[in-house]
Amino acid sequence: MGLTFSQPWLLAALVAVGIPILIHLLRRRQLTIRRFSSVRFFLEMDQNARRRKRVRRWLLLSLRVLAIAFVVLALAGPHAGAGAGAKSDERLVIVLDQSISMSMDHRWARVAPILRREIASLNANHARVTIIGAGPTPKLLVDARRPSEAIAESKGFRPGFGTSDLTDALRRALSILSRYPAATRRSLRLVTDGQSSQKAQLTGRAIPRNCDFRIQTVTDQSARNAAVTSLKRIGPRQFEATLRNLSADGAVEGELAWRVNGAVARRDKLSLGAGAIMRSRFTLRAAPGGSRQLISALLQTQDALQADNCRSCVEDLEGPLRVVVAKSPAAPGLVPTEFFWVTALQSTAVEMYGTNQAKRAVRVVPVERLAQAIAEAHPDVVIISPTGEEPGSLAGVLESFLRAGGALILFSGDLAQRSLLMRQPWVPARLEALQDTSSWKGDGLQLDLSHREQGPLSVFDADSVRTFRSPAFSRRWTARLKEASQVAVRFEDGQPLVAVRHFEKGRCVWVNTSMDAEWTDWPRKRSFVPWVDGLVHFAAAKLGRKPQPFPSCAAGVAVTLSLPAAKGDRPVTLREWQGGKRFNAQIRKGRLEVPPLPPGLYEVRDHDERTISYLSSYVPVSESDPNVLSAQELAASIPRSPLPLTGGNFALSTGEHSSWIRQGLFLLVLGLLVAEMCYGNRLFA
Amino acid sequence: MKPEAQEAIDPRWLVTVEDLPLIARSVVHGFLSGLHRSPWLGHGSEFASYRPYIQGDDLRRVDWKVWGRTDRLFVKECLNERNLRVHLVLDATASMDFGQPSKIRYARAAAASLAYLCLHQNDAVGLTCLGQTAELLLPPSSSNRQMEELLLELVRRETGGHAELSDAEKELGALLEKRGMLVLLSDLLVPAEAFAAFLQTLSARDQEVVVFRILCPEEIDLPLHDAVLMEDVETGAKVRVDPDEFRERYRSSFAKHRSELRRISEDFEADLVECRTDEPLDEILITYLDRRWRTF
Repeated sequence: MGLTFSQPWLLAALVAVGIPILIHLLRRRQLTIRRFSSVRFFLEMDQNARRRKRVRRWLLLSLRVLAIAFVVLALAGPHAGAGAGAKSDERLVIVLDQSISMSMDHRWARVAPILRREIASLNANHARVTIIGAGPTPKLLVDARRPSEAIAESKGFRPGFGTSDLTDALRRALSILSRYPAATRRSLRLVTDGQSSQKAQLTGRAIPRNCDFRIQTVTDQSARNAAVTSLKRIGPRQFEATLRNLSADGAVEGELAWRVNGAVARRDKLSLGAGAIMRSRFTLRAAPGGSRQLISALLQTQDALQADNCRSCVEDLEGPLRVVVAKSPAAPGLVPTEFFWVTALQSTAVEMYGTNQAKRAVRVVPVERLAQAIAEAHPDVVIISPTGEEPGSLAGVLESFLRAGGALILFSGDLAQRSLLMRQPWVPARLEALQDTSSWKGDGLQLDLSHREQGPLSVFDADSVRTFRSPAFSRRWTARLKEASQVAVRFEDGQPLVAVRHFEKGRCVWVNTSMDAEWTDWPRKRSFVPWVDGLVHFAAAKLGRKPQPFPSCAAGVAVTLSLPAAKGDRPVTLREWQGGKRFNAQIRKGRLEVPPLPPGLYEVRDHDERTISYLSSYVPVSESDPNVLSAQELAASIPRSPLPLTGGNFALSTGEHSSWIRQGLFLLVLGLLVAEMCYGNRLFA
Repeated sequence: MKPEAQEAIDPRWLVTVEDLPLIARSVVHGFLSGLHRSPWLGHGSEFASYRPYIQGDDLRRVDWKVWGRTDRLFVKECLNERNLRVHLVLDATASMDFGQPSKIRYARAAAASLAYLCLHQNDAVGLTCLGQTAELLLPPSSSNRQMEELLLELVRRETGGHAELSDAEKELGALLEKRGMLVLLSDLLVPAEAFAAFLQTLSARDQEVVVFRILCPEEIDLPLHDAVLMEDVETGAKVRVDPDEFRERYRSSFAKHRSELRRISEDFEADLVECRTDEPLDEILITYLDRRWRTF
């Protein structure tokens, strides 16, 4: 059995073994002589102990010398065995894409034949195969085994649920290859489905020119390749999916399933010609603003690649209520500078009234830009005080907004009667005359608080705000309610303060007052912000239903999520919604520790099988890429480095690299540590 | 007192101990009257027994009261009080020149104090020194000049050598034929067997032995930290010592040796007084002499 070194010049470093010997000798000379009355007690002490100490000192010295020698030898890249480093040797490293997209269709079924073919192509007697699984992080699946062993082990491979980092996997593969001697024939294979999103990953890693590199794709380029390429929200409750048939030829017949929280809400049959692009829209029926729904569009065809035909949209409906406030110079009271309630509405100041169920995302825009803001921000609630200066097209925009399920709040100031908006059919009341009530009573007109448990005033019905006192109103409109309008809040004389009218899927809320101090003293009271907050919530929320936010995460990745419903530490079960899969999880300190999950919607159940929350796991965007590239196209995107692949770089994780050296080094270091710990000597002390 | 003699002894100590008698536990042979019991009956203040009058007895010793009651002549005999012969044996080997202050300085002071005390009560004091060999410097005497000569010998004597305890016994030789007291001032860093043999010899020769074992704190506690090459001041033997590693075992070995010395002392009815050089000598002497007086 021969022993060769990849980098024999490093053996010159063996002179370093003299360092501990030198230190040992120097330390002996440095001992100071101290006269003592009698050394008989030291001499009488256990002679064996003194002998042991001497042996121990020499043993430590030997260990240190050996440790340095072994490290130098290891760095020099030793290779043991017959024909070590001979050209007849062959090393193959296969990077296997284990992303979730590999589990779709029949892609994974094509992996095994490719692996067998690649491994069987090795001719050398001492060939070794290493297989790296490319997931979120690279994983060593097979570590330098013989071809037959590698094939046997590859039968147990499964795709993962998450993404794959091919850049990191290739870096790991090249690192392993660089540990083998330069004389060895070294090959690298990448087995992937060739999604075009991988192109960016592959361009980030150059392959040395002396490395035999090839890509094997598992996708069938001749298959029908139609998919949902995008899904986005285009309105308060409207979604649009874009479908493409990427096949070079042939139409795709299929069905587009719109799913809400996993349940199919609508099915559309369709036919896509070769290269065709089609858009489909879906309107969510009853989803209050601020709630969170998992919307997905699934294209089901007979032969289309299943991996590419599903898009989920979970982000668009999450988060706080979106409120857009239109300000107008003619209605300064709506956004008064002395009491910036908009800011207060978003702040935690509301919490002192216990009304801050969820923060509000409030945006203030000039009234002439309200239409644009509605298109951009997809608000749940729009607040406006009509003055007659609104653009003429705003009424149509607001009507569409209401039809789509939005909520509109109209304050009525001095100029309200001049506005076209107040004459729209969806307004709950028709204004008649301005009524000055300052002489009504000493403090002005009060509210009827007898039925405040419902409607906008319900925020003051809590035990903590029993002391709520009505503000005083000095001005109001006399109005005539339209049919189907309902009064939510009344003045003490029975006239409406707040009236609501449903229009299509939306609702319009009219408030018979302005925010000006000339109308009411409410803006100067602490109860004003909760009042507006309650008004917004009343306008946006469907009665009897509260928002149910729940978290989401990317599939295949272990994450920790904040779960408001979770308290303390306890085990929970993640149960697939309308499915049978179960996963164990753990709640620690109010946070849910989620294991890698397949995509889908899950119920978070406690030990009593009580659902405490929902959890959505979605397919990462990069894995939903419908466009696949051929192996040649992928290979063309990978740069080739002019630098050669180095050889003989030692690492402890090297597969069959002289295992006795690894074990020896490990035992040596272990022994050195134990000796140092037992004898209390510092290293080289 | 000459200046060089003052170096060996602090006069304050003498003032402290002069009122304390050094009482010999056993009977002693002596020529001068003293505090110690003698095996001979005769003049004295302590009654011993009566015996019938025989011709030649001093008529002054006839107890006439007994003659009046019994009509027979009896002579009253009393215990004769004699002086004590004290042999001070000073260990001046090289190991005694160790510590701060050195053990030899402490031993000189102790020897001077004891000599002063003995001479003060009319006991005869002699001095033997252990150095290169054992050397009898002053035979026991209770003369007026004995104290001064003894102090001068104490001061002049240099440390050095490594004489054995048995050498002292051989040097004293015939001087030990009469009963008396031997006071050894030494660090006793010798094998316990040698100490036992020494005591056994002295015990066989009817000598009461008092040993003042003088040690310095460095020997007891080993307050060193860095590894050093220890050199024996007597033998020159060297040994590599890592005090942190050896300390516990050293203390254990030292304590074992100390307990053996105590046991041997008890076996031969010798007094073993342990002194640390960082402890005041007067306190040690007062404590010891007081205890000895009470147990007499």
